[in-house]
Amino acid sequence: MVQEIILSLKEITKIFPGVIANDHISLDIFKGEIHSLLGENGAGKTTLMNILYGLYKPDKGEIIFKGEEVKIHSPRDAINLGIGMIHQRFMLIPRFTVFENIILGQPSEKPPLLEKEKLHEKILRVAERFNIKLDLDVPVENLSVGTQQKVEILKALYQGADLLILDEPTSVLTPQEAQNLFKDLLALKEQGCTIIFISHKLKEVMQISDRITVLRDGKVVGTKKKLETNFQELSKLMVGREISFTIKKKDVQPGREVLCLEDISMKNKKGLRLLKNISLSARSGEILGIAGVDGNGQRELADAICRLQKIDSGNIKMLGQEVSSSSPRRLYEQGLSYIPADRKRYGLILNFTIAENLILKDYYLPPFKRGLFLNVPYINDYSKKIIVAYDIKTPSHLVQASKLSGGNQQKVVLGRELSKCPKLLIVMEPTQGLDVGACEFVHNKLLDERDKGVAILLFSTDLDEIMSLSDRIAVIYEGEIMGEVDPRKADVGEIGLMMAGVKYLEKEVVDG
Amino acid sequence: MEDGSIRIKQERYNKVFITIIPFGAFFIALFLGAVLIFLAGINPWEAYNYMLYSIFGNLRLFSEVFTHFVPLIFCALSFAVAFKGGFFNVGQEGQLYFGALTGALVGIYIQGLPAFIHIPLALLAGFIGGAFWCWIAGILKIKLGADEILNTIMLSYLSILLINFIVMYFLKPANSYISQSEKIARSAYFPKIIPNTQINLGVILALLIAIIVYIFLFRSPAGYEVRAIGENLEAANHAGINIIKGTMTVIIISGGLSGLAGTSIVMGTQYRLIPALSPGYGFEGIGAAVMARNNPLGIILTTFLFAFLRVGAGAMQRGVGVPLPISWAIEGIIMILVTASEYLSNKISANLIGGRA
Amino acid sequence: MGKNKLFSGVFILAFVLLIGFSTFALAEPLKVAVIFPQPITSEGWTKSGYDGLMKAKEDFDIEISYQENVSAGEIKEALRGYAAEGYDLIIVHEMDYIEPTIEVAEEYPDIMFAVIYGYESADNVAVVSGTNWEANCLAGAVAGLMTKTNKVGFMISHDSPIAHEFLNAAFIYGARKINPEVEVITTFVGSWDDTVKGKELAKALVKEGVDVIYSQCGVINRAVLQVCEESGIWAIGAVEDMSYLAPQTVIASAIAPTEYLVYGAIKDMINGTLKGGNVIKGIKDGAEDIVFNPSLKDKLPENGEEKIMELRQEIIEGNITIEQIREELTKQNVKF
Repeated sequence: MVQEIILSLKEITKIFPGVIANDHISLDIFKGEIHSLLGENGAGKTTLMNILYGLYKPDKGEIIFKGEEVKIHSPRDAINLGIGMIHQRFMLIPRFTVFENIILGQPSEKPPLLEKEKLHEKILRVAERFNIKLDLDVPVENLSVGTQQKVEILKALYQGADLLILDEPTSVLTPQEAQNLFKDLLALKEQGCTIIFISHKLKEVMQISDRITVLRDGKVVGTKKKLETNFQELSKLMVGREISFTIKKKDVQPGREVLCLEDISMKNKKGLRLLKNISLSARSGEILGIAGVDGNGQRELADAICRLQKIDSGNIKMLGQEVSSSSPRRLYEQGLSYIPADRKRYGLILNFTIAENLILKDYYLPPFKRGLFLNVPYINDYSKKIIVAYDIKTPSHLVQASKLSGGNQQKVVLGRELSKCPKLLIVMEPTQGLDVGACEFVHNKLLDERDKGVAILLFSTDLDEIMSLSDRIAVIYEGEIMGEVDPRKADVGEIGLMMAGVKYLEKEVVDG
Repeated sequence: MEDGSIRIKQERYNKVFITIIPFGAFFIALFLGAVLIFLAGINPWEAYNYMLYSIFGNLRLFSEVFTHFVPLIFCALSFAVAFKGGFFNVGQEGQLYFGALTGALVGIYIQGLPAFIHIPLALLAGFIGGAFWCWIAGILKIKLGADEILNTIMLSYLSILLINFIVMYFLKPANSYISQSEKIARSAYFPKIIPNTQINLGVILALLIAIIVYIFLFRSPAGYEVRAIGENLEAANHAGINIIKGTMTVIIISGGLSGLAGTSIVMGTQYRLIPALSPGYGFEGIGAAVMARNNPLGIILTTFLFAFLRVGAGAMQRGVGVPLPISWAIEGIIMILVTASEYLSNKISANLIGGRA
Repeated sequence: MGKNKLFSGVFILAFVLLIGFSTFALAEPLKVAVIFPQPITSEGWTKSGYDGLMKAKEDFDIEISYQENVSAGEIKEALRGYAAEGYDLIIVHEMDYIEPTIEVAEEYPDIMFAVIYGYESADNVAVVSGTNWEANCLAGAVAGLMTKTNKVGFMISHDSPIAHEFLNAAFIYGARKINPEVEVITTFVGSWDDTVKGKELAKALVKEGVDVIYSQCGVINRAVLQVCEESGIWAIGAVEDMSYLAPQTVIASAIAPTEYLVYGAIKDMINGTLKGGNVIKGIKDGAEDIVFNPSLKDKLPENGEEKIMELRQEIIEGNITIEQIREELTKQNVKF
């Protein structure tokens, strides 16, 4: 089957000092296909696409688009050629309506007039053609993340893009929203759009793509048709070694109750309920998974346990003691470890070195402190030990955390939190944004801790993760526990329903 | 420079770049200044030459550099500490005046003490005065969330005018024509290290405190805490660090350092409280701190440069008649370019290191 | 022995050369510096001093330099800078800077310092000021000449011994000299710049029947001028020639150009007569004078100008001194 090539990258090379981000990458994209770029974080996917979108200049190589060699100096050039990019973080102005966001940055046809009605009409026509349903007059801040993504896609299409680049589009979506996105992408494909889909998630790549190109360490290691490949092959290409997909869990008899929540409620400043009558308990040697769509009170619950936010009513007992009069620091000293969700924001100080990050919770205690000063030699030795124990890939313990990949950053956080031998571990989204290898590492570490007898509270929006790691699963929806299930007996559909909540379903019906 | 051994050792080129750029900017500014001098009808080469020769060729004039160096370094350290702790204190000028007031009061009204008690006592008073003035802005931020940039700068004006008022109506001797306080006691004068020059105890004190601030920030748990709060408030909070206590520490130290700037002028140069105590040390100190990327040891270097330029501006006017406004313009250009170069070096390092993903 | 001779020969030669060079050095022009607290472009006081320096540069063979905009915090540095750079005479154009000047002068006993209108001097610090009375005396004479109501007003900024013993005494003496019937009403404003209060006091004077006002109160002078203009009475300008401000109201101005204080100090320095202590410059040095408004000369009474000029001449010749004035007034039982 001979297909028309819409885009051809030849020998693209981009060198950052010390790193070859793209090493002679050659790649053909067929017209009308969904082509996935698969690779671990740091494999060079985003760099490549940023070159294509005019954000970086390649050191070598050429780009042939629709049969002609092109030089792309800026995103404006890319847009004029018909290349649209949907970034991981949306470039929308929250206060503006969908309509205003779409026309933002577009020159008016008849300046200084804006001709809103005409533009409105034009956008609706584009939306209709690609079967995208959107209310143009709603402020973007009122839309769900999935819908905001639709706005970005419509904006690109309106600008005349027939080649769309989506950079890790599902990383911000719920499973349901991801499925909706895939439907939309298939519809776009039918209309003749070409789509480059960047991801490190094997499962969705296998679901959506026609062809898959795997990148590793800045090089293309293979391009496969979806129909002719499988998980094992792709993951091996991606990581360079075999990955086991089944998690082996030992049977551990849960011990005594470590955490007990009784009837916890919390309101925000406006009086809105964030947590409603939550009662839970976690015992040593078990992982209690808390499933739920992002933003349903997980963070508030975790923060409440750590005393980072105040609850309005209810009791929290850790190791049989009421915690309501403790400070977070006191709880950490008593054996609580907390790995927050957004590690770059809550877990790490990016401009600090690895060594400095590793002592973030203990810097004031001997042996990290000696007299009035930090015990620098001890901190250095300690850091080196953790770097070895947690396999943190870095030239030195004095490298800034911001210079590490996501996986290695998470290892720094894990190293800090787990090396204190906690009794209770609260983990949020431990594998968000991590590649397959790093996920495996994190999962194994968590299971090790469980086997050692730590009580683990695992918050995750990744249902697969919850299903495979947890001993028990509680589902949270709008600050309320919808129910508890046994992962060995429950099916995904049942949990998914609870995650969505009955109210959510009703809403969909009304909207539809 | 910045690595105490638990600090980063970045890629070397990157570091070299970041260090070179501000100085490059400095020389470009000098060049633009030369153009201005030329436009004023004066030979710029001669002007700069005169500046260097007259200052380095004469110990007494050279020692004048230190009259500016001491207050400038305290102001720069004040900004740097606050900045590291995430508190944007730009009210050095006002805190300087308040510290000068409290220091001068101790110097004037406590008499009969030996110098080794009187000097530390006056310094302590100055520290407390500056810290108090900064604390007002701090408490407004912590309790009401009021923006500290606005508050510190507004409080500066308040402080300057207040000191003016206090001197005129309370401290001025009844028989004096001039709005100035009495002289402080001899025992509160900074002893001169080199006789007949302006090199006095203040210089040693300033250098010592710069080193202490460095050790505090990079080698002590409290400084670690301060930096953690400054770099990432939320992560520090999640790590159990007491944000309010940490921020207060920063506010007190930062304000106190500015207060010492004022006290050092009173005890080292003027020996009395006068309304026009500072020709803008507070603002220039910020420039020096930014140029040194808020590193206390770098600040020693940059403040010396600024102090030198101040004396140089006077020398150029005296020697070859470079009008003062041109010297101010050169100083302004240096500030703008160096501050801009901060942005530039960030950008360059971002481009060089790149987003790897 | 021969060696010794050679040595002494070299010594003598060196000595001769040294003397030669030092005489050559002595022949170098005098180096004079002036320090201004304000920019030289600011009209009035500072500009006048700057003009004096420029005039001196034209008239004498000197090397000059000045530094402008020097604040109280920087004055010592500027002084030390000039001293270190080998200037012979350093003039400070601000009386508030007298104390730092004396302090620095102690460090440099070989250099001469001068402070314009200072109030404290030292061995090498000359205080150069006007007489404080000569021009005031003439202003009083003009007031006595012009009044029809025989009531004239004198406004002084601050109450002080100098105000009574110099300013007020001279003014009253001048007025009575021309017109023995005249009554002088003196008020103290207590400020250099409270124009509102100045206006109030001027109006009060007008109500009391005063028909000439002489104001010596800085910025307030112009406000007083307004009141005189509105009330249709005469005004006498102070410090500068004010006739351009109110051409129909200012009959004359008692001027005190500081340029002649600066110029005079430099001149004395060249003549070798400048010494520490008080240096007073008066009408004969050009540092004070009375100038009539040329467009109003026809309003003067007959022989009016001549009478004033006669008095002026007597002052220049030293026939009238301030001590005599005070004695005279005390004898006549006139309070001042």
